[in-house]
Amino acid sequence: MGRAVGVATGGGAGDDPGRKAVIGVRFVSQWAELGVDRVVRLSKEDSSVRFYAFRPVASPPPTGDSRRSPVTDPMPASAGDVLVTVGAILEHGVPVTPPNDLPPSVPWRDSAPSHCSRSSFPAATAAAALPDPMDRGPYATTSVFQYTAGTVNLQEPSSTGGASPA
Amino acid sequence: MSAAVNLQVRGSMYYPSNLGKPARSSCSCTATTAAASRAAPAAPRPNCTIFNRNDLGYSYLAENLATWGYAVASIDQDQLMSFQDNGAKGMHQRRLMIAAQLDALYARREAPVPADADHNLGDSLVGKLDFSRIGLMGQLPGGDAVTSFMDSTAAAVRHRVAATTSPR
Repeated sequence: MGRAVGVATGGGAGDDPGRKAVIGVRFVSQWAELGVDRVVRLSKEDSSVRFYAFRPVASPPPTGDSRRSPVTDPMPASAGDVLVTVGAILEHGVPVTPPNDLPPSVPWRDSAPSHCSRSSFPAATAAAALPDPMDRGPYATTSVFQYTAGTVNLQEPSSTGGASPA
Repeated sequence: MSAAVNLQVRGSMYYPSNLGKPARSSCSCTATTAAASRAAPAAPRPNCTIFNRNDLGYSYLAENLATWGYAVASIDQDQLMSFQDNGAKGMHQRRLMIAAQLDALYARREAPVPADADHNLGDSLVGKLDFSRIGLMGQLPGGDAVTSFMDSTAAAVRHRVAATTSPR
């Protein structure tokens, strides 16, 4: 089973050919709509449960090798490739965040409800158009090699895992 | 019941010098692997004496992001290595540390603080961070910490983008 978190790619997971990891599925009501046929719970911590959801694809990927480089050795598209997306897919270069619409003085903890996009992203098909990830931007930088910004009091976890009771 | 402990909120930071407006903010949590934990079994709490600066692990990426207008804080979670085992135990502390870091950086964005043993940012960040745009990135246990943080705070935090690499 592949360990895909954050991205649903064409071709499926390398050690689980014929299946495709699906992310962004947060509610049981969405599973049937998205064709999820298997859900594996990863962990339960406090009140949250994280999981991977899988659904079958029409045909196994051509190679099933998820270790191929998407830049130098892109995987051919499969007839069974279907991209599952909860949010919108944007073209490369389009900012994923809307304009800053919060006043700068709003404390981050009291901000509006999260609009965190749990989207999946399209597979890299236009390898020639990919930018060099180490290209530098136009700004000069300031580095602080160790900042200190106060202290935090944390309770040690209990021996059974998770947080200790207060 | 185990004891509570005071840990320093610290890390390394990279931000654009000449942006002219508040920079989009990003926190990154780099790896603290199980192997690293095992390599220092007798490390005194709360500091690991061997792997004590893993916040520098992605400094090349953080510095590059700063050239594109991001303020990046690579947070130091080495202090938490003593409080975890090879499973999920201790992950709760990692997400609390992320929240503490964001709280502390927000405070430094709002007002300066005199320098002392636990504060050295002064007024360097006042007005320079845009907390309506928060990105999170983590690798290995840091990846788990980011997803754990999102799960625990998604209703209240306006983080927009989170990336994990190789979560355990």
